[in-house]
Amino acid sequence: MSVLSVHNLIYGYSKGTPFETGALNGVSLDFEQGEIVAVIGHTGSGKSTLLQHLNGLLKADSGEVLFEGKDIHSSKEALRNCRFNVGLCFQYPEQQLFESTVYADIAFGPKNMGLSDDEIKNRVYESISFVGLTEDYLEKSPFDLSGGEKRRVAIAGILSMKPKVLILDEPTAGLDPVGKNNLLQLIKDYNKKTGSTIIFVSHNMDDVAVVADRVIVMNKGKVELSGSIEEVYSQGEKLASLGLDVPEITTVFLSLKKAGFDLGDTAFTVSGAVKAITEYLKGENDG
Amino acid sequence: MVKDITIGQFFPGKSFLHKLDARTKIILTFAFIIFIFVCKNFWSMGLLCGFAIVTYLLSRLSPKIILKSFKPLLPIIFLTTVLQLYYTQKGNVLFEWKFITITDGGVYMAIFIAVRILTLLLMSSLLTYTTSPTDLTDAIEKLLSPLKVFKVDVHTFAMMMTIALRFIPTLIDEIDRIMSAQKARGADFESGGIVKRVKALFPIFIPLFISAFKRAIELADAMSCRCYTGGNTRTRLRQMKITYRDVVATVIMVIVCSCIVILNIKLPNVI
Repeated sequence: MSVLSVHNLIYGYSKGTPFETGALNGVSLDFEQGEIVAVIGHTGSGKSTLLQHLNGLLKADSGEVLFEGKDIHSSKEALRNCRFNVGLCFQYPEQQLFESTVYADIAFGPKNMGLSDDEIKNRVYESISFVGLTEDYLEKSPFDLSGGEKRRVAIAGILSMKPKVLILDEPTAGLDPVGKNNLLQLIKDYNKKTGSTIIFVSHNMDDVAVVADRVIVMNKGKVELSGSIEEVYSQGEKLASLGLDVPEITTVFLSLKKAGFDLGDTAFTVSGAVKAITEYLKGENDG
Repeated sequence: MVKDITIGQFFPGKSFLHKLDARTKIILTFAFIIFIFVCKNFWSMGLLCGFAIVTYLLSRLSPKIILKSFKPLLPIIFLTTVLQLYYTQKGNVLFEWKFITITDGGVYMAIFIAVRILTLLLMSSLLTYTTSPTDLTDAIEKLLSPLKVFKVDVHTFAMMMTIALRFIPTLIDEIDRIMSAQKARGADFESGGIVKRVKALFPIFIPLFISAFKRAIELADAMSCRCYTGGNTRTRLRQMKITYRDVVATVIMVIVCSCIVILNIKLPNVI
């Protein structure tokens, strides 16, 4: 059984005003336990709207969202259960910090869950080390931290609720390359260590190639493509027609192919490319 | 839910009402509001109400938008109507039960007040719905410019208003976003006693103030980077012009207002 699934979601923004656009036009998806799924799409394709349906912040005009097989809007308890088990981290999460200390801010979620003080403390320590910050940070004010550190604290605030499904909206937006790589590694580690499902939205095809098991491409409120990285990224023309790029490595490999060096079309990351080139060179030496 | 607030919103269009000069619209709306309180019987009120409806039709706005702007004020209208029913004791008694007495005078009064509030609301929302914030503040600056004689800094005042109006939708979006983010962390804004509810606002307002201050500093920087000085040295890209439309609108308004005065004198009062 899928941990989270949506059936035929239809949702329109600002109904009845000139600003109306069809945000979701019948989206059906299943998310399995433990997988990392990337959602990509052009601005306005309905990615963020979809994410807000997954933990019940928005309610679709029609269609349903099932968490562990149960409709999340069936009762108040079901919705509450879903809120705590499907952790949603918004874009620029550092803007939601408000407490006087990092400790109190990370503890906000667990406190709302009604956990005991000891359990809250355990979770705060666990999540701060997960995001790669030392315990010295706990007594600082979140507003004295750097941008990257704030982002980590905000993500720790979600992790402390130990969600079974972690959803991140553009987690790497506005970070420098080092901060970005650290954060992507953190997402992978968290997935490996806890076995949680991770769903994340990204604009960056290179990031997606590094982290995701599965890719969903959205366009105009619909799922346009869905499949493994290889399946989706090999359809370069279709992606281009949706206003998306293939990763830089793929572009390089395509030009190499045109120049007469066929290295295959399964390399989407730098490490994959290194492997493909070494194998190609080996084959050439042998032959 | 916060997004339902439509006050101060502008819906672009090309109708007669949209094309009227903002100064004309402000003055005529003010005149309208004054005359709404001049009306003393159903005939004059009916005329004014009909005028407001015709004006609305000229704006070509969808009825949904108007109904949405009425929604938040319905409880207030309901409350005043009930109070009028209860407190106005005039004419024949229609209904009596313990301490509640309802007279036909009270019923007339209640209907009269409800119509008055709705008409007032319709007309003032039409002003903001059909006038862009920039036009509105430009017009206010022009209209207030005689105050310069008394050393009032009209330009700065108008600029402040432009910025405030401009940021209302931005702040509403921001509140919406922060609320969603805190809800995702299990924050509860809808249950509990008054103390709990006030406490629940901290996670929204602290981030909101921080970002509002940040935005203000950034905006000030951006303005000084473009050498903004304000005051009399500034000229406008678009000059406001009085056209035949404004003349027509003013003439119609004058006729309607005269009719109201005549109806008030000739016919008996409700109030």
